[in-house]
Amino acid sequence: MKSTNPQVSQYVRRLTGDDLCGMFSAAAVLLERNVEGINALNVYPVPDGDTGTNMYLTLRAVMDAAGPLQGASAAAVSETMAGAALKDARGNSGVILSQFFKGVALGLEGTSDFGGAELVEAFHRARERSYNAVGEPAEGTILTVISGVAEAAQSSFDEGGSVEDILDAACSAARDAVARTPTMLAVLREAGVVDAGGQGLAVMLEGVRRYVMGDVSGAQEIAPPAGAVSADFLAATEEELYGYCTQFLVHGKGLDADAIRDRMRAAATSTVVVGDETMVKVHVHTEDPGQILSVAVSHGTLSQVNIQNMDEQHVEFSSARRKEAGAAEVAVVAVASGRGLQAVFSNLGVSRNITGGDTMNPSVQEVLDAVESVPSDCVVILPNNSNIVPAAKQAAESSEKSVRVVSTRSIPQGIAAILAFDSEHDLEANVSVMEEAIESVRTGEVTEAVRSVKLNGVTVESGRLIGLLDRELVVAADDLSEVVVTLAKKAEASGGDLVTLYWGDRITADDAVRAVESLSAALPEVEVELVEGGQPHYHLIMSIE
Amino acid sequence: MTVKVVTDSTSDIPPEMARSLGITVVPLNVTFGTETFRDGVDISADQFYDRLISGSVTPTTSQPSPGDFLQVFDELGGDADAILAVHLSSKESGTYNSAVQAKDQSDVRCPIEVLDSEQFSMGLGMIVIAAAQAASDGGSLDEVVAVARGAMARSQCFALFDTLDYLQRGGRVGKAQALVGSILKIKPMIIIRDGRVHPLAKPRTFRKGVARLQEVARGFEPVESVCVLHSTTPDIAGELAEALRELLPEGSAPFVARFGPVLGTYTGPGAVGIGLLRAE
Repeated sequence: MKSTNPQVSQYVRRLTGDDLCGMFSAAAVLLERNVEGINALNVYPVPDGDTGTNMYLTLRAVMDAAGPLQGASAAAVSETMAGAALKDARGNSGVILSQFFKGVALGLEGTSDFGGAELVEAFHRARERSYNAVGEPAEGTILTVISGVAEAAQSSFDEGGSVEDILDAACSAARDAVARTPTMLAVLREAGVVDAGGQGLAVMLEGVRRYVMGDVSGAQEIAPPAGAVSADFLAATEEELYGYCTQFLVHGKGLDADAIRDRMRAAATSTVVVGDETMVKVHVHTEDPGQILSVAVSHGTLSQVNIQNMDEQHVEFSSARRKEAGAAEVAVVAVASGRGLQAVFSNLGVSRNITGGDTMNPSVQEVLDAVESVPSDCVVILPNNSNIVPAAKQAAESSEKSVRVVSTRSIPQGIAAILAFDSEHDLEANVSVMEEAIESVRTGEVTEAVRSVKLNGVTVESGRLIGLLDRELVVAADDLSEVVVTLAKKAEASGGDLVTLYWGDRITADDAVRAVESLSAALPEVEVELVEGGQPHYHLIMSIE
Repeated sequence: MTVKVVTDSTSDIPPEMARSLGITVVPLNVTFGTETFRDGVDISADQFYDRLISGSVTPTTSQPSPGDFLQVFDELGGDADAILAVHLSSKESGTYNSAVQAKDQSDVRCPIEVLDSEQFSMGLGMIVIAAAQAASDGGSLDEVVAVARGAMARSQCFALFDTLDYLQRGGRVGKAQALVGSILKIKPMIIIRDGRVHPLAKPRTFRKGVARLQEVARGFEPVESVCVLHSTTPDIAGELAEALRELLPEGSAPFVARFGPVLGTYTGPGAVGIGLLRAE
């Protein structure tokens, strides 16, 4: 380790064992205040992180052990700290932190008090231990921050810096390193966050620095470097998505972030405004981005303006998520009409919906186009209607890709099939489980008779409601609820069974809810779920399973 | 030759079974807010699930510290000829790493081997039980390690959850993300492969899910040992164990264990699972 000072001459401040306690006690106070913010730096779209908590609990254990050591040597204090950290390390970040303390103890071995040389040595040893603690050290993590700190401390010392200068340089290097973490780790970049462990260490060092500087400005929240997502941001984005997500930077002199935030809050929701006098980052959800921008431009010049329709964002998020889940190997295309039904199919893993159904059978070419458009060489087609099965088979034969038709004859069969789909399995395995799944569900349909007829002993006048069970006419009535209950009974729905009702565009949500209530009253042991299907022609489509 | 076998609390091995097989279980920690409990030591499964269901704080979990392992290795090292520690998948927890750290820093004279099981719960438990049996038969460290490695290739763990909320909140949802955010109500099923959580199936009802668990278990026949796990539903677990009796030779039956507090943080209440060891 290089740490010899070429020019020891001036008076050099020496830090004692009590100072060491003071330094990390200040670090603990500042870290505690920032636990939530650090926890929120998480790569998942839910606030589930616990890095801040783990680091804080580890540091608290360190201080519980070292705090009582009044007047002890720096070596003894650092040794106690390292022991406590090792014993009570929590989480991966805590384990690395324990190695950081071990390194500090090695650097301060045999000292009663310490100055720049020992401090620099301590940082070097901390870096060495921390890297060794991790099986496969990755940059863009807390390790990068420790590394930056050790190098900056060395440079400052080589230039004759005091302990104060060294800690200034170390803290500034820590902040820079944290800000660089997203450039090193793709997962951070995608989530729009900096590394949580790195930020935790930067906060701790800031506490250490403040103690040594005699800075008693108190513990406050330290925002992670620009580009990071704060706890506010995460909380804000949990809110319902509507309108436009609008983000931009305001540049100027003497900017007042608080004032900008107040004005944004008055005009938009999910407002997050952070920054300093020269640059302020704004994130809002609004139905009128133009108004927001004209308010903002009165404060300064704007850059990096980014406006996104959140409905589109949501759709993109869903499809990106499916891709991530590895659905690319085998793709599924399905035929369905109605926004709700198409959404159900997409949500369960269908890559491409073809609009169609009764009275609007898609052409072979339309099915073929859908098959060709998906980014996969293996495709399953779900026709979801017996009249569409032939066109689907024709399309399958015409395609150069490996295409299989699972002959679903109704929407409920199609949904049962897609539920059985497993993106981790190959085409044949999927076809086999999907075909099996079709057998597990019965299909009920409610529509209006388009002509008078007598079928299966049921007399129907044109305009009455009729109920079909697996395409057999089983009931005619004037009341929707009556048809639904009769269908469920004919399907022998019983305890533990699930009836799902997809309501179509011919009835209202209230009508559908009334049908559910009647069904639950008539068959209380059956579970009922109501989903908006939005399909034409059919008042209700029912799956009974 | 005395080989001591160590594992962690996520193996979900029932305490009396661990005692009779001489297995040392190192607890992970579960934290509610700033209150931390050692899994199965400071907090029982019942206490944990009560708090999980009624409380507003989402618990978090953390691995044992290297110091926890050092202490265990020191204690066992006195009269053991060797120590084998087998832990949950290093892809989702730093426990394995903690144990390796402790191994490197330990002054214990006897050799210590640390294995990453790439499994969870009874998927890990089955491996540990096999190793402990080999150790009690007087196997050498190499022999016990070989048994553990052999069991790793034959061990399976899969589960049916009432909800994926807990797994998602805990940040461990991984590839099972495909099961999240369904418009239709589904009961998510997962399986452990290559040390991670993978989606297995999307039954619409819990009853169908339980039937599916049995089907999946039968798909692994012939099997040597079966364990049914649950978080809060002993009755369902008991019935499932009875139904799976036919998988095992006359006279032996599946045993029932419980998802402990640390894994319960991710399974949530109402989860049922199966750990099994395929026959050689």
